[in-house]
Amino acid sequence: MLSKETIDHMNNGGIVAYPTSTLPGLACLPQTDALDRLFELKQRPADKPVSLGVLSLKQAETLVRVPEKVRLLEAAFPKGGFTFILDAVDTLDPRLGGERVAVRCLAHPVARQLVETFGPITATSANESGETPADSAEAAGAGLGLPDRAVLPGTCPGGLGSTILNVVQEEHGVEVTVMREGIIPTRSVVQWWKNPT
Amino acid sequence: MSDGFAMELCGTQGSYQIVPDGVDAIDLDSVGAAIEAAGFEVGVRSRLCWTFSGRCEMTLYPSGKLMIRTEDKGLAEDVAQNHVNEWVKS
Repeated sequence: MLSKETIDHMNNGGIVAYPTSTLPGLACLPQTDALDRLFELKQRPADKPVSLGVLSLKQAETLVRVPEKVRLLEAAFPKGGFTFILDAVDTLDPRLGGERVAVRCLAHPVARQLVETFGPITATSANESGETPADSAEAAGAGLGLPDRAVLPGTCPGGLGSTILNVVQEEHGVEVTVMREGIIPTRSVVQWWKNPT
Repeated sequence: MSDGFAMELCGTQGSYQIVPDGVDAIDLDSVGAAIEAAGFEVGVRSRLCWTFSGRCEMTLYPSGKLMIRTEDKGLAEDVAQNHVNEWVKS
């Protein structure tokens, strides 16, 4: 259950550190003022978009075009292991990718509670660009100077982030490229893609 | 193309994309409320889109684009006219 302070903070364009199944994340609502604060806090260049956290690819369908094979791929691996870069249904803020939007199905119960409360949120690592991520939302929040109401406690397994896949719908089918190998190995993706099971 | 909007069939999923002419952005809350007042039930209500169910399923975007999911082209055209002539002006 999110506190009223946290809900008000988010609704006012604030940023919240939260745990995920890999590394701590930073959430804000996908709106201009909140994204301004997020990019300033992370000292992240505006031309490096952040991904959106969703409950499922079904939920993401209102925002991005999800090929059937990608839906099957996501279902075949542990939830939260992939971030998919997909065609937007409607162009979003460039800091959310514009016409190519990255979405990640969040698995951690605290992260999912955030999405259940607010809808899709930003899903970017809770650290300044180039810095090593922390292993808990509390440590990440402290490192970024966030107030208590802006931290949803929880530890993270750490290690690798999600595996980022660029998905392109071609005339002859769907092409997937591994942009960053993360918690799901490239060889597992390739094996599945060649022989979906 | 139709008067005042572009209507495209999207893929093979029985869905139509309505893009009103001369509209780049809308107040999602106002237009969403107008659609709700027209008898549609609101599902998702977020900063990125609103979804509706009723005579057909629809998704409304901040750009003013409306996605209509129905196999009935006549119904889609009727809804598109409502969107362009009434709702989007809310």
